[in-house]
Amino acid sequence: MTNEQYLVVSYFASAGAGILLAFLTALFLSGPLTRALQRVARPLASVFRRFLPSWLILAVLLGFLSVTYYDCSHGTYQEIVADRDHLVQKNFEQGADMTWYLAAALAAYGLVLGLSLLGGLRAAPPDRQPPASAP
Amino acid sequence: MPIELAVFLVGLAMAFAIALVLFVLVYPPLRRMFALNSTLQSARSFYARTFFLIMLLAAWTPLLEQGVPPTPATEHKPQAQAEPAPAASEPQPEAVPAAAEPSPPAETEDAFMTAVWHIAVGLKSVCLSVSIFLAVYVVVLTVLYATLGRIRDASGA
Repeated sequence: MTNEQYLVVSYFASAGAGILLAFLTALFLSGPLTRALQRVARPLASVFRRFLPSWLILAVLLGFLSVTYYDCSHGTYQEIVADRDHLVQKNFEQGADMTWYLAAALAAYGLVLGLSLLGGLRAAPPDRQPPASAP
Repeated sequence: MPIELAVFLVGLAMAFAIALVLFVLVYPPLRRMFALNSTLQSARSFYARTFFLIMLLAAWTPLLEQGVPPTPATEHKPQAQAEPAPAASEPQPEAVPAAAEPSPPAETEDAFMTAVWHIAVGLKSVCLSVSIFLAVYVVVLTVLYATLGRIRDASGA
């Protein structure tokens, strides 16, 4: 496989693997998320469920696209393609950035979900509100 | 399997073990905290899985960034190319005897320690990354507890 072929294949394979990872993560969390959203109002819960895969895929793509092949010693396409080690290193960087952004996106989503649970608790009907503490 | 790939996979496995140990340590108190009320309890599974995923991804990120360790041939190649050839008119320096090639056992030891150092450097970054995300997750749990944990209901423990 020539370096140019390797560049094309690895670039799109990295993007595909990242999107697949995000999708599998969303699938892994979909069941628990549905249970967590039982107390949240139905429209908001629906938004949250639809939001998770898109949010994770966008985060992974952001990580993937944040890596550039150009640097000080690789200013042109020919210089980039000539260096196989550089191509491999950039693939690993893409993987690292995608996992980092995915982790950050999950943490942010957990925080927002907590706020929505609070909103759901406040919007709950009176019979579902917690009883007032007895004196 | 090439030794570089094996070193990389060992690093990934050790990072996975770190994430798993953290999860095992943190999950029991996490479960007790989520038993405070029914709203939190329904979200327990989601937050537990999210916690494990975040720890795992945070542990793998530095190792992926580091990549596979370079082979000795790859390390020496750029230096050899960058070294300019001596001009014909310049006086030739004294002939330096060629470095004796290392004996096979020494080469094996070099490769082993290089691999160990490569994993050690990666694990240092793993610890930093996991610590940062652990702190972020503790903040998330604190916010969750501060907003929902004070509310007790009948289904809560």
